[in-house]
Amino acid sequence: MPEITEQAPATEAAAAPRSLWGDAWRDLRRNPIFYISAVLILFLVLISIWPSLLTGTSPYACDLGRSQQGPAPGHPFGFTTQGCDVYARTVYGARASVVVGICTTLLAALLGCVFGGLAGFFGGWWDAVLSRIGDIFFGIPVLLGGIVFLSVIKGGSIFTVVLLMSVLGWPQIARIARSAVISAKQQDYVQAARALGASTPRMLLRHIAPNALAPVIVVATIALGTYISLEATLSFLGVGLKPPTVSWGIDISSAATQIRNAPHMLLWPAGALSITVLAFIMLGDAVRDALNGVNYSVSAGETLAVLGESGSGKSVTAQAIMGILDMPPAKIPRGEIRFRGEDMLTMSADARRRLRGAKIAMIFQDALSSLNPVLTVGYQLGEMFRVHQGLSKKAALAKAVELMDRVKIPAARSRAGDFPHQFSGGMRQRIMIAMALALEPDLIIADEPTTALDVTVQAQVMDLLAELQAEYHMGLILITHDLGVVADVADKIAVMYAGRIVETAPVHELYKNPAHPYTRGLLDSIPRLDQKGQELYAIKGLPPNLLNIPQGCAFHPRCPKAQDLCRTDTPALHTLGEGRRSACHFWKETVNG
Amino acid sequence: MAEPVKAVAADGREPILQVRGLVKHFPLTRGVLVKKQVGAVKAVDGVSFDLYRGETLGIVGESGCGKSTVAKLLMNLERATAGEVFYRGEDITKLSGRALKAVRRNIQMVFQDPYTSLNPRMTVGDIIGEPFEIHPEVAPKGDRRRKVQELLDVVGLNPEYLNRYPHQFSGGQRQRIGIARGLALNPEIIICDEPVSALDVSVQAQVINLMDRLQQEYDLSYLFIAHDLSIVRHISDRVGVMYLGRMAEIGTDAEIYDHPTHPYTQALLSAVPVPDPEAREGRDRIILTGDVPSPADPPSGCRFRTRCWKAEERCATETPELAVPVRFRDEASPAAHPSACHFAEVRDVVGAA
Ligand SMILES: Nc1ncnc2c1ncn2[C@@H]1O[C@H](COP(=O)(O)OP(=O)(O)O)[C@@H](O)[C@H]1O
Ligand code: SF4
Ligand code: SF4
Ligand SMILES: [Mg+2]
Repeated sequence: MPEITEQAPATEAAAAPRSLWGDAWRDLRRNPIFYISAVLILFLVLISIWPSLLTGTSPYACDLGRSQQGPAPGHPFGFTTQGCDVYARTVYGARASVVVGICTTLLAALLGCVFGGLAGFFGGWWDAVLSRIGDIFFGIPVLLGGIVFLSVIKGGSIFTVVLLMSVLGWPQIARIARSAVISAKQQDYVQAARALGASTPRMLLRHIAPNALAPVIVVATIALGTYISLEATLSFLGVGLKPPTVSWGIDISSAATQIRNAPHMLLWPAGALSITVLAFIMLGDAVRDALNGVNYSVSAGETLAVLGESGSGKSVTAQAIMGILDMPPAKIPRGEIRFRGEDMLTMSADARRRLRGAKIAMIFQDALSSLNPVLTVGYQLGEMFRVHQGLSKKAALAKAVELMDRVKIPAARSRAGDFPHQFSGGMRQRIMIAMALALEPDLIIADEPTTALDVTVQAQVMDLLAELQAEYHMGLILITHDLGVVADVADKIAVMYAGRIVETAPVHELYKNPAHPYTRGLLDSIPRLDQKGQELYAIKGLPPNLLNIPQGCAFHPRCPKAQDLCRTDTPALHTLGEGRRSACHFWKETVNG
Repeated sequence: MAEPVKAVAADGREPILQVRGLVKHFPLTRGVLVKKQVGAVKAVDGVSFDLYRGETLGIVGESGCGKSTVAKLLMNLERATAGEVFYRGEDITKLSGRALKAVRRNIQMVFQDPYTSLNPRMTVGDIIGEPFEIHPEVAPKGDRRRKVQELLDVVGLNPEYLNRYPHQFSGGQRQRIGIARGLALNPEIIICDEPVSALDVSVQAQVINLMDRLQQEYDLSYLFIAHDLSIVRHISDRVGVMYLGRMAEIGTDAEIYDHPTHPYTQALLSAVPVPDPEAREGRDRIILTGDVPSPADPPSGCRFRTRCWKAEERCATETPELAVPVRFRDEASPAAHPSACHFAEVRDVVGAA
């Protein structure tokens, strides 16, 4: 066997190095919201540094004689009660907001990262003490705390306001930092660094901090907008910034009492404040989308790869389900899938959903995330009967207990009051089966129902499924990647590759004599007793990215039998005999070895 | 206290790692500031085995039985509650600082999840080069780039990929990167905790073949942890079966798979789906009842007795020792291998013998 390297063309395409930060930046630049907010913020920063760029009038040049007058030449927004120029004051007011917002955020983020990071990294006493301190501050509503402290210390300078708001605001960031550090700390790459003998500072700086930073950046950007409106609120209430500092909050406050006489005095500072806060919130949103978007696109790519290999994959797209339904493994006679004569592929999404709820039930791999963690199992099972059959609470619970008995959950009556997390993985999967049964479906689609379970528990659950299936005469579509499970329970098999069915066959024939090179490769790569010590057969290359399926036969880059024809023409699903089909141009040659 | 036994395998190989009475209890605590211990998760509770030079010892068992904890104890990522791990005659569980760092050069690890075991914000070159930064004596600075490229080549990846990030690789490729990092310091022992469990079926075989090749090339000893019994059999010379923090049975792969004498091993083997529909009817399937008990409150005596169909009085009162059962002791049969059961007997569940 030639040495196999995984340099499939699909990955060659991803040529240049792409860091996660780079990806986030690229996503950000594609987001129009980011541009709008960035331009606004840049503008704000500029005028807070050089307000004279926009106005030649001083915000302090007041003329009591023009008190509350409307717009006049050279004074487009009119005058305040003191007779100052509203336009100039609005322009100059930006400085207080921007400075307070940015300084508070930086200080709060610094405090939050240090305390939250230490608490998360060292755990134990550090965590207990630091988290307790954080909780005390966190318990104080920032606004209320601000009012009380600022009235006592009779503050008023930008410095005191920033200091106070960051002292009250850091715990929010610390919480995020702490949990980000804890989750980064538990990652295997940190363990791997330790196993190599890395020092503590190295682990913190090189492995944990860069990975914990993203969520902190997101909350900090969003917090910035909040701090700006908070400063305005405090100034409005008269405890924040004090004249002679120019602040939108102060001006809004003095304008508010005169709203009937001179609404123009309120309009401009209030509008400027709203736009500023909005700009920062938009920026925060865009940053969050970009940073999370990376995770999403990575996991999407990863999931797609698994999807190809395991036939229909973990997160089954509706499309994939329908694909299987159109070509069911023979447990389900074709007529039942063309439900009531309707073709499920052309049915409206709504009709399909209704159909699936009533007659087709699904069981997923991850039972824990499919159950509501805050409701008891009995309640959730009973809900099916309350909603669908209108039973009373008591009758529904009795039904639920009956079902739990059916799926062999010991002491069903007393356990009906337990919550999902109190059950073991195998028991939870039984509960999922019970839920599926409650609907009395004609068909159960089980998507990797036992993959997350241990072999002995897996055997119990598969046994139960087979038993119930016989008893209720249900169809069962089992989506799995485990060739062993398939051999154990299936009657017929459909093999999927890159989102398409490539072979269908009765189980015995498939294992004895596969008619598609992919199936043959899969079977050959199972370790076998009589070949111990030899190299395992390995299908070369990687499952394709579903967004970039090779031309012609999707399997051709990995196929030992591929010819020129395979690179250009997509093979049809040829019928070879009763229930046997293969999507390979060379199925004859394949069947014959 | 156990001494490093100067045992030598039948074929003259000497043990490179000797594990004696290894115990790890994770305290269960209550209270926030003042922590009060209210119990302990007995994750590993008295495990002993030897690893011979150049061999692969497979460890199987269901999740939660303590396999990963054993791996972490061997790697000193967790402190053992009791017991010893002898490497070159030295108990490494008590080491710290410089001495520990030195041992770490020789014992490395490959992790289960190729998605979480590589730092997503470091380039592949930095990841594989990190061992050299931590142990600068291994490779002079100017030499490192070349070394990293060599390692990439050894694990079958394009050496030009140096500047890419982990998310630009598939699961199988990432696992190769993890293996390259493990090889960097030229270790003697590699602990593999479920190295292929997270990979697609067709890619598993590629990685297993790579590991096989590297073992021969570099004379590595593997401790290969997995829950997939067929993969373990394929790669292992010997196999140990764990249940609830203890070793139930240990022996060569043929002894364990074809002549299991411990009821748990028999149940485990019989539960493995066999990829052969013809075998469906003929198989002796043992469907166990109940769940694995909590390791915080394990049964007395034999750990398996709550699910064992052969359990008797004695199983609750007397802990069966991991030793060759008396009845087989004088035989030269494959049944004569250590099994922690009072009533050990052969039962061919796989239909292989
Ligand atoms: N850090 C920890 N704290 C408390 N309990 C733990 C910890 N790590 C593992 N355990 C427990 O120890 C037992 C063995 O775990 P583990 O070694 O991971 O098993 P395996 O690898 O065989 O699945 C499990 O019950 C697990 O919950
Ligand atoms: S059509 Fe060609 S490439 Fe596709 S499986 Fe058949 S032989 Fe291989
Ligand atoms: S010692 Fe008893 S309980 Fe344990 S495995 Fe043997 S027969 Fe079963
Ligand atoms: Mg584990």
